[in-house]
Amino acid sequence: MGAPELGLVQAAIEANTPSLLAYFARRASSEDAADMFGDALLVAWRRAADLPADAGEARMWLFGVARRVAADHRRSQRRRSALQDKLVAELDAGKAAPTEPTDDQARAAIARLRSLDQEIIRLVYWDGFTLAETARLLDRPEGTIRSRHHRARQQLRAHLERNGLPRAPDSARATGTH
Amino acid sequence: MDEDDELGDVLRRSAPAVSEQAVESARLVARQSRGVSAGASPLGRRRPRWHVAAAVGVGAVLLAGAGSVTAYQLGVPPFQTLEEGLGRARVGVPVVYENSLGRTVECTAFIEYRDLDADQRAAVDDVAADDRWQGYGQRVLDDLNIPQAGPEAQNTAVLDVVAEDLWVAAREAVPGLSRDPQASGPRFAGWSASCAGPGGIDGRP
Repeated sequence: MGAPELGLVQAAIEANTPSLLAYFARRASSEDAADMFGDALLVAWRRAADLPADAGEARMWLFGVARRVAADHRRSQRRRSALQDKLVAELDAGKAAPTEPTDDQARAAIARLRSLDQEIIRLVYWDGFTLAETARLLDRPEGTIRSRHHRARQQLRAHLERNGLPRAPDSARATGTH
Repeated sequence: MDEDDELGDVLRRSAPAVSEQAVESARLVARQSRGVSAGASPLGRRRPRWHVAAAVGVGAVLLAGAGSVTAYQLGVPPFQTLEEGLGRARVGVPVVYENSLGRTVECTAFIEYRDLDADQRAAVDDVAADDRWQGYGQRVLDDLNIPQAGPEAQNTAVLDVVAEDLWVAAREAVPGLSRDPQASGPRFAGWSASCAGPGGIDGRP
């Protein structure tokens, strides 16, 4: 691994640390999130030679790593560094903070979706990916992702309106067409 | 995307937030991961490892920056009482560095083990006394590249790397050494460290 590759990995990790951490924290317990965050970094360092130079592609690459790490993750009693323990405690503290009832309802509605649809919604609305990027990350045809996204939105709207959220006009416009 | 979409706004707002403190810790973890993977070790470059041991043994105690002077002094290795069957190197590894406050932090880290014979214990002492540890603590901190971190975070990060390096050194001294607590035979039981000086991990002015 050469110095330029190390520099690219470092820059990519630093730029994407908040979003990578959030990705894991929103999908797993604090312990698992800290473990997976560490695992993803290790993979990133190990595969530094594969990191694209373009910042946007590097982000996609890092999240591809993150997705594979999450898919392969198995809970285990493992050793953590003291900094990772601190990270777990701070993630726990954040999760204990009060949340808005509207947010709780939205999360509950997302949780009712099929697992693939949940992930589509999270990648688009929580992690900020376009539908095209989401399709790449999930390794699915973009058309499939668009149709599932559209259907998932309809289900979310119906569920949220049943629970008293104000009716919102759905433009039915697929997100992430850019 | 969905700029004028109320449902989209609701969904976006529902994303569980991650605190600034957690992100800051994650940044330190990320920098530490480079230090570990790049090989700050005095033992030469090594395969990248992530799951470094902080205190892997039952008997391992981290005493850096303890609050009470009395308790601190009583607990400083090698005076700290060890549980039966646990051994500790007689020679400590010096971990000295200048922290973000510009103060010198002087720590000593000790390898702990089980079921080592006299020759193996001597080998552990020898590796701890090796010249390779000269300037080690500063090299670790420099490689971590966390100049903005506070004294406590720097100390934690440094000792995380030390933990792994002590294991590597112990394994070099005692071939066949295991870190599996369930294993029979010679085992790496962890490590302990104390950071001396009136400031503890804050270092001496």
